[in-house]
Amino acid sequence: MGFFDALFGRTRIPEGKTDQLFALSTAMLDIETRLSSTFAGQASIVLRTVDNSGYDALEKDVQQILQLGGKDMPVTARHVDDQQGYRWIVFEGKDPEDVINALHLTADMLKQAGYGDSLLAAMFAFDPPWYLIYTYRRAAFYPFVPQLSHARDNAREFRVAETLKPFMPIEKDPERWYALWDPPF
Amino acid sequence: MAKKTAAWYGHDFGLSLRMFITMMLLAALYLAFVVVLWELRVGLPLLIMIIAALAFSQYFFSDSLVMLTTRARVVTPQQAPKLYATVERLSQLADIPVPKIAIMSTRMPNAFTSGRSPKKATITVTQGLLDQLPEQELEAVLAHELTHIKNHDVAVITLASFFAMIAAFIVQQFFFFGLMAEEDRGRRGGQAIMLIWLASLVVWAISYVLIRTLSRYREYAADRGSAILTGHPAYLASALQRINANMSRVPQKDLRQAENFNAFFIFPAVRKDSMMEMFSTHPSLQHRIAHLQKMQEDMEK
Repeated sequence: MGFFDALFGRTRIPEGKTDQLFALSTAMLDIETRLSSTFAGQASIVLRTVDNSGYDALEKDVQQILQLGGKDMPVTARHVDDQQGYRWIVFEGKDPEDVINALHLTADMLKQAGYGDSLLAAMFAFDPPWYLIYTYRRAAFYPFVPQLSHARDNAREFRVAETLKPFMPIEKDPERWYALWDPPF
Repeated sequence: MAKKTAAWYGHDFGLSLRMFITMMLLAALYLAFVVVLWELRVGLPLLIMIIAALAFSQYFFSDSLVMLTTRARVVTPQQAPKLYATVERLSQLADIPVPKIAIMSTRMPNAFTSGRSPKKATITVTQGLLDQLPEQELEAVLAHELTHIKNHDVAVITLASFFAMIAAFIVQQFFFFGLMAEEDRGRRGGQAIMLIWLASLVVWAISYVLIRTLSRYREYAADRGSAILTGHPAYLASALQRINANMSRVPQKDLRQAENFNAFFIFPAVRKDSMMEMFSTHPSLQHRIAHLQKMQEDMEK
């Protein structure tokens, strides 16, 4: 958001940046050894659903690509629409590499079709339960450790962020560690 | 990589252009005003210092002042989890820090934003808004307010009003100002003071219209922002209609009390007969809805 955008009140959602996502592939080993957590086999794209017909056609394409790639890419995808008007495209697969690839492929398709700024975040589940969130606006990761009744374990989040800092782009401003409550996986 | 298709919402060049012209006119007016004051050898540095101090304090304390006068109460994410969850996602989409949320316990449905920068911003919603609007419409209203934060609207309007404040000060404090000018009375005497007063009056009047015009354009921009963030222009349109309908049901006494806060509200609380668009801070409901409908149509293309 430049100075002139603010001056003229032009709303421009920053373009979704998909390119830093692969940092997770390389950091996966460090997550396993240094945080003794394993990938829980699930990840999701969270996007703002847009109210037009072009989008529905795109959705079909995404499904088709995933089915075509299904043989060498053992990943399944499903959709969940939540109460707040966002769509979760949930990917499931054993190998984190495959899940990351499938997720990136889908995000890229959405981006090329003009929905780049509808991409809110990508969320990766780990075990014992915590999440890594990739924010498309800022091309960085941050940890999310939800507790009961919309509270977060901030201490653990800071520890995770500190540990992962040398291995992947971590969002520096903790004010931008937006929560994503009640993920459907 | 293939070339990216353009986003569905495009640009409103007309709106940017009109905003630019308004700001240019305002700048020209202010420049002329400074030249007049300079020519007539007013104790300008002192005056500017006084106003700057006033504007500065207004800029810095307006947040707490607004919270104090509206008796809004800031709520924590634990107290209003759903509200924060919605705002948090919209903030992430718009790439701004999550603002604080305050609730004002009045039944009139409305919302406003305060705070000089995105980091200090607070969105205040009334209890009436929470009770009367369906979730999607509430989200659209919150997105409108978030766009105000993203566009730095409080700072823009404060800045735009700076010289208007000087002019208003001269007009209103004529006698005090006369005394002040007396001290460095040089070649010209009472006539000059009269001229300054007249010039200030003109500047005050014109800037009043211009600033309100600018404010209306900022409202259109925030409406656009809401439509872009939610992906549904229609949500805000129906929210505005509902707020308008429920607003007229409120007794007049409440309305007049509310009128002081108009510049901040998503929908101004004024009686119908006083709603002359040129002098109001918000565009009329029909115009706002027409703009949102146009966006909806563009989307389907």
